Amino acid sequence: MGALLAMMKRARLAAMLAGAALGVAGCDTLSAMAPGGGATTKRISLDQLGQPRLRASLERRGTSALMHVTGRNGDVVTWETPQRISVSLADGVLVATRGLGHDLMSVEVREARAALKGALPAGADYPRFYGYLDGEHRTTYRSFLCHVVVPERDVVETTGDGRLITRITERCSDPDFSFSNVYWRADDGELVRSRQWIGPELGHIRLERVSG
Amino acid sequence: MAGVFGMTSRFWLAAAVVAALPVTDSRADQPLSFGYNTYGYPGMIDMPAAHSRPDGELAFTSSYFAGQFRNTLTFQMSPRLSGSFRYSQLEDIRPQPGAAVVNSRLDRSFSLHFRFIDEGFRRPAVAVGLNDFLGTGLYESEYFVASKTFGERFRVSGGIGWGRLGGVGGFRNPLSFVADGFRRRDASSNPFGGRVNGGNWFQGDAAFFGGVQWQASDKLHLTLEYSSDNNPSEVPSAFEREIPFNFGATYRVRPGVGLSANYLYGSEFGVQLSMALNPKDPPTGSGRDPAPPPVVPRAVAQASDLGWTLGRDESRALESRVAQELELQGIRLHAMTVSGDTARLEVENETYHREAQAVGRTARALTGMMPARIEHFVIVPVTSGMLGSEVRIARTDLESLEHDLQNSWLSYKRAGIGPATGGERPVPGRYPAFDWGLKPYLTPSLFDPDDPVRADVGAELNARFEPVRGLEFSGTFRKKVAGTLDESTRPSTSVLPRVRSEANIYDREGDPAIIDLTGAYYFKPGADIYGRVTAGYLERMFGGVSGEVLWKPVQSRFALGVEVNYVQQRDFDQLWGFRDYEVMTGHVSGYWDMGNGYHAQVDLGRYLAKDWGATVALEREFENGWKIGAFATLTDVPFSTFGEGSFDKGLRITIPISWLSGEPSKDAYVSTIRPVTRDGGARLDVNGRLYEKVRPLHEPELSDGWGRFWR
Repeated sequence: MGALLAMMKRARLAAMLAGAALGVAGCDTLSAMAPGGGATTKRISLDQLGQPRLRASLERRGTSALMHVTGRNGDVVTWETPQRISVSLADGVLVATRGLGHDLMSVEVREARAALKGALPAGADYPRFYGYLDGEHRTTYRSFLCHVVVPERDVVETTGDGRLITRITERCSDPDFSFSNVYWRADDGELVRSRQWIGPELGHIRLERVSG
Repeated sequence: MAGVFGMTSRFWLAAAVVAALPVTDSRADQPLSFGYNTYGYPGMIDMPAAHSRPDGELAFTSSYFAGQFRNTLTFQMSPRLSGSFRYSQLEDIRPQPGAAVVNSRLDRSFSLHFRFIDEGFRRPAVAVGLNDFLGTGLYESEYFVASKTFGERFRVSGGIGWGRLGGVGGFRNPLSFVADGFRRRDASSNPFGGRVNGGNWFQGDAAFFGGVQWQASDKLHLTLEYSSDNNPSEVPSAFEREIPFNFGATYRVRPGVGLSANYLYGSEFGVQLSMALNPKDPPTGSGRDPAPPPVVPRAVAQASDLGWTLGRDESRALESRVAQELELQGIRLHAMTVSGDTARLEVENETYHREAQAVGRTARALTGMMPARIEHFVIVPVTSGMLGSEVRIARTDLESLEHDLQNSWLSYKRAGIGPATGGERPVPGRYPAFDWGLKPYLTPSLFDPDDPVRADVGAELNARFEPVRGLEFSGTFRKKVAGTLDESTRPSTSVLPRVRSEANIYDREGDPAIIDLTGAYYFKPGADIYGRVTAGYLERMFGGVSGEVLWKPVQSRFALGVEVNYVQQRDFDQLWGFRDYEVMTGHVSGYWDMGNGYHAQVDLGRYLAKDWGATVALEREFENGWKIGAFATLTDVPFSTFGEGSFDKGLRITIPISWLSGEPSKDAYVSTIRPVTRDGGARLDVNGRLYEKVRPLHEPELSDGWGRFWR
């Protein structure tokens, strides 16, 4: 079985290369391949049914998938799709992605988390650092100054179970670029929905807790 | 089976890959996109300009006008220095002044362009260049050029040229006021090519040239130049030179791809296509490797776990669980022992270009499986049964650093990397192992004057059997499906033993062919020493016995190797038989990782044609696996005996498959481009040489790839 899989994998690569070498459909093959297409798919076991789920959508690619919890380390929960694409969230705030290409390797979110809880003075600036791997697989960082936008901190809706949801907008910028993250936070502190920036290539990801 | 991929694939393959790629150039938003001239080096239309292209850029340029077809591969090997290899077809030219006009001539040439002054606020950039310094001399010229940009859209260049670039409006060489020898330039007649014609550099009459370029829009730039190139071979047989001015317009089709239309010398229209990519910008960024197993932290107190030791059945069960989990990660468990607070694993990375990534994934997987009392993971990367190094990782660090902003360097700093000790019994089920694969192959052949591009395609079967640790039997078999390699009938004119120059007969008669069929034994005779003995059909033209010993301490940037082979030439049909040519060949090799991605290798010894000499190779290696380099071999064979090209030299390009696909893989295209393949300075092509096997498992490669530890 292993040998067969290995062979198929090689044959696929070779076919792709042959395509590229002939200048035929080289681009198509590359772009048509689903992210993590070559990955071994993990089976979702029955006991994962009824477990919390997260719907993740990549805006720029127009793709979305359901994720399950595969890891917990301290405050950070890692969610994963069956195709082994993962996001890691600290109190709902994005701290890492894997399996997407151009992944976010790490982020410093301590102050952002405090700001979301209202523990920082309203509108105060705090730094946020994002870590990536560049094209040569070396760690690079981008730093931004962020603040929570004051007027947009509004009660906007209630959930089915009567919780109040507040929408919080966080705006970040460096000299060349700015983006915003939006969080929908229940009054018990849970982030039920969010739209968060991953990086310059991947843009924003939308995350939403799915009930049932 | 890394590297088996298309050993013989070559240059146009790389060019086609360049053409087929969705090129992403992060510098695309730069307003100035001036590129390559018709000779394929940084410049205007026919003239040079001083600016360099972005560091690492690899470009393929094709230009055509008046029967002059130039194809150039240019590599920006450092921020200041670029090198070009050109293959031209010249029609209706006179190869030497006064010689008869020939209908068509194929010619290879090299160029170097070195920017030694950067542009400043007032100061222009200044560069010096050499053209065709190693070939037949048809394009021989030298120049100094200065370029200055004004605002964001204008560039003005001017310079002084010698040789071909000193042919119009020439004046007495200013250097001759310093030394009289600069006054005269000898006719460049070099029938064999390949010699460095240093005696002519910057000699003879000089002339000025210049031009302006205007970036009219983001996609379009226009060029006007005054050319001092008198085209001595081409005028008047190929075209008439009416005026010294050239006009050009270049349209950027997409980032990295430019299309130019030129009006040259008042008489001819020309076109040019430039395609560039940068190994630093992979199409999928850092790769779409599937998510690694999450770190599973230990519960705060697992008192029940204290003092717990594994029984034999339990440790067997754990071993097989670990093996299964690692297999999901594309990693093979070789051996495992758990004792005290330490788990020691020998692992074989079958998937990741970077060993650090395999180490990271192994460590992460272990956090979910090892009893809580295990605090230290000792991970030993293994290749062909040989222990490469030893990486000690504290489990507490994995737990606390998984989501730390600076987890990459903190985890590296806290890991202990050293020489591997011990060597446990392999896990049951690791040996014996059998592995095979079937895939298509493509073998191009370039630069035959009768037909510059030929190729075969077919099916290739690989098989490998490992009965016990260190012992590998492997074979590669090919069956051609279609191709034109058998059309080559040009007989070898070599006066040396024909060790490589009859390749076309091997191509014609080897169908089907046993490319290689060997037994190899890998072993570690001492600390920092690695050994290999290989016997059988070593490569398509030679069989015999090959032995190698390599000294490479884990932390060292230097390595030293000795290889001795006794081989006999194989029959043209590449089945079982041999021809009656035997040779003892071998080398002492020194390897040096110079840092910043530059690598050097020197081999001293005896080559296949029984000639003695040395090979020097210099490679620029990108951390994502791209390698672009050049090599040259000088032996005691005189240039005239060697024949065309004078000595063996060439370029080597390695393209990692993972760069193209974004999927993790250790496979790579390796292509060697030789302007001419002859018999002097030819080295045996045996599989499994130790340096490339061992180096990825050592420093500094581990630290270079540590960014992928958390990937």
